[in-house]
Amino acid sequence: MYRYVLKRLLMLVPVILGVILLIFVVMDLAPGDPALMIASPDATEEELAELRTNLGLDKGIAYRYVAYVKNMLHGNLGSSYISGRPVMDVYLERLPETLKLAVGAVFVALIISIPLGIIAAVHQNTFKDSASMVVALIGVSMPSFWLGLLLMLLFSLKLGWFPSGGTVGFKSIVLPSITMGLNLAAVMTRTTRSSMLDVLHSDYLRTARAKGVNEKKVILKHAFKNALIPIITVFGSQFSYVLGGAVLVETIFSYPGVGKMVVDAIGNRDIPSVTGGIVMTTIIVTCVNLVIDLLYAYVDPRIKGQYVK
Amino acid sequence: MATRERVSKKYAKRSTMGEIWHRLKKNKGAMIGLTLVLLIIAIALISSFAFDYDTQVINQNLVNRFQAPSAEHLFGTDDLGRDIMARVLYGARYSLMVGIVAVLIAIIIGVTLGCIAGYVGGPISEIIMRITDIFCSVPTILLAIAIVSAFGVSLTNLMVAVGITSAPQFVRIARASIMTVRNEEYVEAAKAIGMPNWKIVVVHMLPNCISPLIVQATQRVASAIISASSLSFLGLGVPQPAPEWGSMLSSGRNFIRDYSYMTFFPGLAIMLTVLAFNLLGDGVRDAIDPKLKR
Amino acid sequence: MLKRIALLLCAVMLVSLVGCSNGTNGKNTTSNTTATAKEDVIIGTSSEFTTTDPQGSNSQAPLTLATLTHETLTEIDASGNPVAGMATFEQVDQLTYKFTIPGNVTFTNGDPCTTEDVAFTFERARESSFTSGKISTLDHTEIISPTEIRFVLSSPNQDFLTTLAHKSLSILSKKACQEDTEHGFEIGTGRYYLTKWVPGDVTSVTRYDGYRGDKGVAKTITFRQIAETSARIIALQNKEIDIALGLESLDASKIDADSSLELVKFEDVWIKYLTFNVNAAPFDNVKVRQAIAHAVNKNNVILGAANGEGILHTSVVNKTQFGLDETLKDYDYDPALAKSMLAEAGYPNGLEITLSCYKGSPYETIAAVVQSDMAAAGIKIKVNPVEPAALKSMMKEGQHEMAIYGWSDAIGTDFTVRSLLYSTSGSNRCKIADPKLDAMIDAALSEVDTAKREQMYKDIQQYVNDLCPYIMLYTGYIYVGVHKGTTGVKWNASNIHDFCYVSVPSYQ
Repeated sequence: MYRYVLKRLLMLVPVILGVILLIFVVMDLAPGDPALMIASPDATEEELAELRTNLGLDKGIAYRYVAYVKNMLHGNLGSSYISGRPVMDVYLERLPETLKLAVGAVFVALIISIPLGIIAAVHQNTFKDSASMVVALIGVSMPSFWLGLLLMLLFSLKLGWFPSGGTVGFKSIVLPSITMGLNLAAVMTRTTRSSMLDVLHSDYLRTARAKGVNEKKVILKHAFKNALIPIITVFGSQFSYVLGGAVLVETIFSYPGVGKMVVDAIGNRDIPSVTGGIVMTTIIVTCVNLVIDLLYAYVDPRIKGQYVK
Repeated sequence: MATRERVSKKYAKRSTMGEIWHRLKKNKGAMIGLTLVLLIIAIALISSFAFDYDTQVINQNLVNRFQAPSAEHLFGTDDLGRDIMARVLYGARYSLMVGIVAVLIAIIIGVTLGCIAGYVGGPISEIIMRITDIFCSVPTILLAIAIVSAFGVSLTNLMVAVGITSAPQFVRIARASIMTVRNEEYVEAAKAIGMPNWKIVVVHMLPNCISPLIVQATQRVASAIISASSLSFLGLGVPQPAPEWGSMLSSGRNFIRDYSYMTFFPGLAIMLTVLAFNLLGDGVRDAIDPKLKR
Repeated sequence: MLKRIALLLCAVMLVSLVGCSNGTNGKNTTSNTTATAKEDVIIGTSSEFTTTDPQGSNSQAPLTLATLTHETLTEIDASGNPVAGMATFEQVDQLTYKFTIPGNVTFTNGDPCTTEDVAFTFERARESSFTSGKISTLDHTEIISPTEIRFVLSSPNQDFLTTLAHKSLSILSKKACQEDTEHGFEIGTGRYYLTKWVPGDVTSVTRYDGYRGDKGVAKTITFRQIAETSARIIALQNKEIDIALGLESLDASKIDADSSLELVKFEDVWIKYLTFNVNAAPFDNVKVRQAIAHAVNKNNVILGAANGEGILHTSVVNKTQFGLDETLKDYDYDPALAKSMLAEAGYPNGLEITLSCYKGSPYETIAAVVQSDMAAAGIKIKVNPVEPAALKSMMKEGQHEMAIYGWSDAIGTDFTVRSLLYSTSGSNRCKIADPKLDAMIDAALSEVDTAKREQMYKDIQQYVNDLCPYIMLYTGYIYVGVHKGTTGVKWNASNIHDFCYVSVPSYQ
């Protein structure tokens, strides 16, 4: 078991190194001199050159890359060109906000998708099924920024139930979470349904029913538990979207999360913030996927058997 | 030898286009999707004739700003007095173009790399898969934003950025499919007769992965359209005055309280287009592999 | 010793009780306001507090902060004339000014402020490119006593006293800056001191009760960053913030509709303009520039980009500034004339121009309107919206053809004119390098006779208008949403508002 975990963590290393290289290359290609964003328009060439030296921009990309990786190993992600604050600090400040959003979205998604998916599967090909699937399909097709704007229009502007921005307590998480959660819910509903369907027709369920087990217990205890694996897989792949892609939702609701931090930094050519933000997000997402893979082992005894000596 | 080729070809094409089409037709949802997709393509094509770009789509008439939907302007006018309906209908082309071209780019890159990885194996395969992992680990929208920022704002760069971020999925599918048939007898036989490698891959192995590719492709078109309009929403799409749906939503956002119709119609257009491709995609997936369908 | 401090505190308290009436219009004594005014005022803004170093920026947010935490030697009164700030001043001769500061000025950390700190501030200002240009004519300072200091210039500068009122020249603490190079400059002599700075989120200040004069009214003032205007308005309506800055004319109706809110509206000094790159053909031909100027419909731009709430601007001198020539003749929108002028200049088939601008409003909207209007003159515009970093690089390298930009400083006429037109200025977006113009600008700076000086600026404006390196478009209004009964703010046309005495009535 531990060897598996270790191996997965080791595989993380080349991926991280590659991500950093990718960002460096892309940001280098981008036009725009970070020094100009910080200095006054009247800065002389010498001042700009000095600034670039201070920022380490005068060295070639290979040198900067190695320096960055070395620093990263000490937990130092550099400092923002714009505010001068250490990127790690800023990221850790904003991470809880995005995590709150992620948790909220997951919560919304789960309480909608699991019951809906199970109902749709159990009542397959009836009206309940078709209706759920249509709703899910519409949810999947809706762009999150449009949904967010509509929700804001209705619940914030017209009804005034929720704030439309900032981080004033619990209320500010509601609308953004629902926006992302509904999208997530739509995807998860479809997955839950198809996964449940796969399981509902299997032999061991027929046996359970033949034994006289209560139908509800059949569905929830036997079927659902086995249907969990694909559900968890999809959940894992969606998490990357939730963490990094919450950019749009964060923009609309002016929610100070990490997604928005990276997008703003890209616009300002604030390379340390961009690199740091994306690297941290990648690490978190990969760890989440690792945890999910481990969850498989827990949920599915067949896989567990492979790893336990 | 010729018999072997003929046999394997026939095997590969056992589930004929006709059978697939038949199954597709039976699926109501898929037909609705298909009709919608064709309708939207038709709108995109016809609108270049029906609407004169200069006088109707981008023509500003500042006196006419913010007209609510009426008989004259079915969807109302925007903040520069432009007719929203003309812009929404004309804008279909951008979403369709980006959606389809981006996926084509993704397929070309993805299948090429995936085939190489699958067929050659070994360290090259490892390298390709690691690179794919790298592109997969970065949240797609952030990567797309970085790419467009680097190369500038234009329709071409939008298509390339969305294409690159969609490619990893195709690498994986292509590689997996190639690997399942890599050890088949007919492949060994082809090698034995001295068939060049690339021909083996293209003729014998690729047909194997067409089904999952098509399924993935139709689904990716839908998400490519959303990615494209998301980027436009953030100001990284097609520049003014092009009536791209995402950028129309973005400019309408400032006026959402009093003139919400400016955001409603472009958003609805995005949703319907994506819905159509999703319906079609689901239907195609069910038609190609009936075992998957319930 | 203790007795002396006690007496001093009593005296300070008495003075503040009496002196309070000046700062807050309408509300009289401290006791009255504290009973009905909020202790903690929250202001919603979209501006970024990129730095806490007054000498590190010319942007509105850091300078608004400096207005609360620091003080400048001089201030500007309602008519734009320099008056005493922290110091009283006296002009000794053409090149020398004497400043006297009170003996009881203290920094918010308790340290006394002397002329040593003043001298240090201006030495440090030479090292920052944001401030060095402003004090380029300052030759040296001479400390006469802990409360008296002389500033000696190298050449006459009629705008010197006005420039000293710029918040980037706020007085810093020598001791604090030397002890803490990262945060020492945050300590000022103002009515508030910085307690929290989270870039991108919150910046807070707390009242300094040791201030020698009228203390601030609110106990704490917090700036909360809310990027989206609609989110800011909702926060205002939901009483999450007390003041919403940076609103637009479209928001006026929302504020008016709410009976508990009030809209503060006044003219701003943010000029939006089109710039040529006069080094790039065909824009090096003055006839071409003039022709293009005739192809811009400024009224349409105001209508489309500012919802009609804009004031046409022609001159390179900003509103409210000394020497502004309001009779300057604007280039009318005449596409036929533009077309024929272009043909005369050798372009009978019109032109294709790339117009670069920042993404978002109002720049992209201005671009869209200009694009549409120029089409009638045979000019095809390609809009190139880019990120701030990219546009700044582009303009610095002179890679642009035409661009849309803005100018929002109105403190000294020389600073504005020099920044926009002097050959070595970094803000010279049109890249003009005209020795005759440089000489005119230098001469106007040192001219002692006010009437002559005014005429010199008028000549500059006429010269530049004929040369047409810029097409000035319009200035607009600043809209702020406040709760009814909010008082005490000194609103500023450059968006550097003075919140020292802000008083927001408590919510029922």
